[in-house]
Amino acid sequence: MRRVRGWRDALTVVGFLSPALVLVGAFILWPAVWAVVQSFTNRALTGPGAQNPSFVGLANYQRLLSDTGFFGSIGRTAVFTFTSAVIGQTVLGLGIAYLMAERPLWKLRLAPVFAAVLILPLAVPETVAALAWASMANGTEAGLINRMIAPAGVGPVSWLQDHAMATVIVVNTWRGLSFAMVLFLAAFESVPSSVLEASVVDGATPWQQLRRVTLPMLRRQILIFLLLTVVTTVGIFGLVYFLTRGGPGSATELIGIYIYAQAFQFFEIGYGSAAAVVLLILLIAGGVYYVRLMREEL
Amino acid sequence: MVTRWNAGTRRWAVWTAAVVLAMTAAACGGGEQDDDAGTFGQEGNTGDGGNGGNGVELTILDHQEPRTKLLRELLPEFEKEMADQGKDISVELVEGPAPDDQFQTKATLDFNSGNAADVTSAGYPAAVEWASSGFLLDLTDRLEQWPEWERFYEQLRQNVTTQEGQVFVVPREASVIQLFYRKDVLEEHGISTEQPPDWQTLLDRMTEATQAIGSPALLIPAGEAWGGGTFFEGFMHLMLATDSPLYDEDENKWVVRSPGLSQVLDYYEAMTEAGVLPVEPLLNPEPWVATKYEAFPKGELLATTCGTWCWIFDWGSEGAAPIPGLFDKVGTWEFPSFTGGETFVTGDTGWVWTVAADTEHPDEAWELVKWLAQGEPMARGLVTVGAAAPRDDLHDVDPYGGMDFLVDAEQAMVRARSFVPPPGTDRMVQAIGEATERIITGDMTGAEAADHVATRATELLGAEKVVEQ
Repeated sequence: MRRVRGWRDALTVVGFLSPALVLVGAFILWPAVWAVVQSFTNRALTGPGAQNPSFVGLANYQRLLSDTGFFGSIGRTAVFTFTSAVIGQTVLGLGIAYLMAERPLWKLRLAPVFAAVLILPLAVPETVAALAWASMANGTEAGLINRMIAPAGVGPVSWLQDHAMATVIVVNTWRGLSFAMVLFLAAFESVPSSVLEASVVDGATPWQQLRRVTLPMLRRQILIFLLLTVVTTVGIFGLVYFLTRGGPGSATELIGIYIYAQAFQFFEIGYGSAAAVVLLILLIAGGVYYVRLMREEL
Repeated sequence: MVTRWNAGTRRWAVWTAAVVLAMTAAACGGGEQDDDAGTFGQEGNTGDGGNGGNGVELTILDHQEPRTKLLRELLPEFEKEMADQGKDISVELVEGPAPDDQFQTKATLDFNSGNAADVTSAGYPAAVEWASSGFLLDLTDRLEQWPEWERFYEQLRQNVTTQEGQVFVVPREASVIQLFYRKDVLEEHGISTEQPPDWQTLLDRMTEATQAIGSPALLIPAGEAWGGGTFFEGFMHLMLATDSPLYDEDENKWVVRSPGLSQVLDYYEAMTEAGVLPVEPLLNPEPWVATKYEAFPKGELLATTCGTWCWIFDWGSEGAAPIPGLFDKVGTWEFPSFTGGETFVTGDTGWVWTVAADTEHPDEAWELVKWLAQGEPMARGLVTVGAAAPRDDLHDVDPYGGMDFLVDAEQAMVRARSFVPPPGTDRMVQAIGEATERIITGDMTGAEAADHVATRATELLGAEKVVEQ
């Protein structure tokens, strides 16, 4: 790649980047800055905070520190993210991709068929997926899941009432498996077959090959996926909202739903923004950690 | 290897690019805007509409299929009547989300962004918040000049008048709430259907009923999932049965701790311990579905608070959950008192009409509100949702006049108790929702919940807006 020389080159680079920069600035950076600003005010959608919002300093953050609902939502989000994103999507996605990848001496029959079936969740909009699962997880005998388990003498089970968190974890795992599978399948295919063949010649078992050859070579891709899935899972909203609205009680009130409730149910924009800023800081911290891990790979 | 474009390929590329550019320019070019015919559901604007420059196009925001269906019938009649008077006014209906809380969120966002409809239908508590935020047109002078305003019940006129003497809304209905019970099922199990003289008698009777039918028999809305319903359809009736006010009008402060408040929360604890409340549905989204729409029609829930709308909107033949033989199977009780006084119904302003403060057509919007708030248009609206009239001159106006149960409820208004929601009600709603949810889940006793209300309401409303008694 030729180095940028002079103002003409710089102008050309900026010109080509400007559409993307404008969009990023308008739809990502500016809203983030605005949220930070709002977090220091008592801005609301109704009442005095709507007519004359005023600067309140750290009052919103102080209130957050004593809000058990906020910390509860953070804790639930951590559990949800670890189980559905880290264990569910990443581990299961790796496993499925490994089964479907071509390797010396072994190839899954009908892999394209499985791939087509497993890719379907990606094609379904989040809201549609949530409503479909809400119907399937219906707690009456008419629910699809209950009809499937009925012959075993089990149920009917109120999945979204008695096992709400487990249900949303399963749904989010299902939804993210497709992307994990696609990403890891490409990663497995990128491992040179000569390396795998050499390990076979050296007498490595499939498990040794996976653990000592393949996975270390895929470490970077796994970290990238973990970063992406953790960030998107922490900020999840639509899938859980349309399944449970954060209920029963606050059993599935994740941080995204908590922020929505503060800002758009109780109309406290300033307070909701403060919660969003805290979430942003946590995600940035996590992102920086991941980036450092990946840099160590270089 | 670099592929060089030959002259033929270059020509095709140029022609293709030219065609694409021409099509793009045609698509982006200014075209005629669709008129309001068939534009229901599309966002309108409050500027001059496509009526040759002299006409006025208004927008009206409402929600829920029965209401919007009626407006689709009424609005052309209004337009024709205005045309007969020489006024060129057209109205575009904007349909909001069906659930009340989502509708309120949408309308509130519209007001904040300056995109509100000229006329918005709203629950009165939401309208109070909008008025206090400066979003609504002051209708005081217009109402004083409107002779029909005197036909509205004095109690409701006072309820919607602020302490400064301003009025920002016109009631479209009166809300009369009582206890509805399945008299057929109670009689079948030999349980008294007499008016309960006090809350303890009601609790004892419902405990007996719960044991008889094997499912929780009494629904007093509680918890956060029901939103404002917990406060206005549950908690408030109990609070009105005490001697303690929830809002001190002299000091303009919320009373966040009082003997009456503690009494109410203790009653929630007693209901929970007796097992008469359907706790699980109350914790889930749309708790009214499993309770009022499913359990009550099946006879698995035997008593519930509800308003006159339940006769039509919920359990009527075209309602959400029809009950055949409704008037034979369902009866009503008034609310008992904690202090041994008379029983009562809760009568409040129901939904109201509001006009946006920044509307460009205040006079025309006022014409629309006046037209909707009188005579046959109002009568049809009342029957559609099952509400009592907020004025005293509709008894002989069809179709309302033929609905005896609505007229009876209207006449009960004269001895109704009411709570006029002041600004900040939504925050109190939140505190009460949290407290009652903690009680019904067993996380708190009534006394602990009372502490929670005091602390939480103070946090939400601000220490300067609360007082303890």
